[in-house]
Amino acid sequence: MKKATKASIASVLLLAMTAVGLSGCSAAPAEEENITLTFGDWGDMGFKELFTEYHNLHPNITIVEKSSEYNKHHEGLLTALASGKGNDINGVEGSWMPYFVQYPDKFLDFGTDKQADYLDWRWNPAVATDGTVLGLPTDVGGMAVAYRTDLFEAAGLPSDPESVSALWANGWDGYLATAKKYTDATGKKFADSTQSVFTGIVAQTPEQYYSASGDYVYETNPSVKAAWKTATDIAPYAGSAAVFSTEWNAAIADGNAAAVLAPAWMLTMIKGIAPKTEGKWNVASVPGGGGNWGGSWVTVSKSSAHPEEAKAFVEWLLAPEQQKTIFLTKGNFPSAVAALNDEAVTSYKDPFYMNAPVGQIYSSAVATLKPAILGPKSASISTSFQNATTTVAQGKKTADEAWADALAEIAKNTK
Amino acid sequence: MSKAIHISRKEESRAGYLFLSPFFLLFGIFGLLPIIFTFYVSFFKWDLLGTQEWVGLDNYIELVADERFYSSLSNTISIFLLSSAPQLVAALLLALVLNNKKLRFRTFWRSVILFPFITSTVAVAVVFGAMFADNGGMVNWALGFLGVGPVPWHADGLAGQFVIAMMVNWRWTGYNTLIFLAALQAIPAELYEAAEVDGATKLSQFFNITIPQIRPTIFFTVVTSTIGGLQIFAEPYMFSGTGYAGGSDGQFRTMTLFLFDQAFAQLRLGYSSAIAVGLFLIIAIIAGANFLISSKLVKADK
Repeated sequence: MKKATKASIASVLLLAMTAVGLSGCSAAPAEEENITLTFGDWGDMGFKELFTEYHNLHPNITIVEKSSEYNKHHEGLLTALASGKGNDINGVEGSWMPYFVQYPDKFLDFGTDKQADYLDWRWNPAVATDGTVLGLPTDVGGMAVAYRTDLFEAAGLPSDPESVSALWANGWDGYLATAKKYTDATGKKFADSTQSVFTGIVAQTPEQYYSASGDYVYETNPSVKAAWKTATDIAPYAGSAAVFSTEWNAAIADGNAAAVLAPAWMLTMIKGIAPKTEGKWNVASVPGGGGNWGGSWVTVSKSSAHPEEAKAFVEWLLAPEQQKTIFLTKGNFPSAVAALNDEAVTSYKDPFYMNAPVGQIYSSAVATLKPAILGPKSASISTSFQNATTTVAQGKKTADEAWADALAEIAKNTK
Repeated sequence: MSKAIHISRKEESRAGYLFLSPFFLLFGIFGLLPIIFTFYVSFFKWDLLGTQEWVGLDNYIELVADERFYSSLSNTISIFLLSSAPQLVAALLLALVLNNKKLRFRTFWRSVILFPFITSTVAVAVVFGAMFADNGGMVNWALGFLGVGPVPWHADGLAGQFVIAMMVNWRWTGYNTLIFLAALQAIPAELYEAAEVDGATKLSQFFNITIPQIRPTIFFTVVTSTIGGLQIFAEPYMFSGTGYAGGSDGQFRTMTLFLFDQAFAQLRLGYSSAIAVGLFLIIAIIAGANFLISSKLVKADK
């Protein structure tokens, strides 16, 4: 017993001495404590290499990734926040943020120190009514159209980006006419899915399912109706699979989709789904003007045992320099102003897409964006409408029947 | 000495309860409490992180008027019938084959039959989803040679439910086969020998010896596959590709998918709890009916 006490006193003294000795040259003795931060995300958010890099810069901090499926991740986060446990750091996808932002007391406040670094419309959705900043924004989903040059040529359509963009210079009517021409000539589907067409068009308008005062306007909003009309008119020329489903993946890999509405992250996704199609795709401008589809945040939970270290790490992870690296290596387009104006970003050409100037395409797409009004039910309402467009593409319902059924479903889900 | 051995009735029963208590303790914490809490939550409007708002019976009133509850119930029963019935028949036939003494490499076949059971459901769903793709899928391509189709597997309710049932069968047939096999091996060989002597055919041996002897096992598999079938989730979730919505028009929305949709896509925990209570009652009724029928039949055997 006595021996043990002596030994432990000795070791405490030794520790204290090392700490004092080190504090002479480094910042604080606390820095020597070994810290593990858990980082919850879904699929591949593109951060893996940066976790290692941060550990090399700060050897006492280790980031452990806890990756799960998209739904599983957000449900896990939800129940973890409810019980005050869970990962230190969590990714939050754009469609979930309007819900979480109602509960700022569950998250660490990032404050406004870094606000000037990011695009305003990407910063604001994570700011709660009490001013708490729940997280820092990751990428932006400004839009373009990825298309298969070989399939366009086979259908007798032009294939260079300028001429292709000119096909729909007059907006979505031009896109629709091109789709019809393509399907008439080849018998194959032009667009990947009615769902992505609907989502893409809705994303181009600031007012979607909610008014600025927070009321539901999905039923009467002309821009939702316009998106519905185009998405159902294009049904005969578009895939009937749900976007991101197994069959949708197969359609893109097998050339059963000639044009895909593409935020920057979609270009990354196509590379993963259809690696053999390298060099067959190019990128044209999107009909109907700028819009944002997707983009996430990284948050720190209030329950984290190391909130300061976690915050410092997230600030480093999403700083302009790292966002630039993520874009150049993974393709997710930066939301940090300094990164998206960086010469290396704006001049970047993607070899997978016939050296399309994607840096320049997305930076100009993002520049003209107006912020969208989102609410906690935006994602749910969007899902109901998207699935309804699929029932039209599958020939199960007419556009009018599907519209009425979607409204009935939404009315129940928003109760 | 004798004092030490002699244990009173009271003490004996106390010891018995003590031995049983770990199960009841664990069941209480992980089984009973969540069930009671689910009942409690079903009287509230609640989005999990926000405050609970008392709504009385509103969730139940909404539930009985919600056609999605009935369509999800009928989808569940339809998938259950398409899967359990052929699955148990196939499992019994396979067990008879595996029990045949003339079969070569018996251990090998008995191991192989469990392979689908240990394959991940996600992997199975990806393969089935690709094979049964509406456009460009292998099955429609093959059917094309026969001049049939293409079948809209993901669009049509019954066609898709058939595929989902196939995934369930793929996973569970081998498992049930082994359970039947164990029951077959427990039948005394004298019964068959006596029947042979009496000149009974193989078929009449099957119906008059095999079936009555394994009747308790048949009931066991029927009950477990009923409970499993009513809670089917992963297969329709993966196959539909539309998340918890269960198909573009809810054609593959089972009761558990509906429950998850309302809980985690709509964040209506109260309503979702009411669905859970509904599912609980339905399973209880079916399990009760199962129990009554089986106890009657077992009595009839005696």
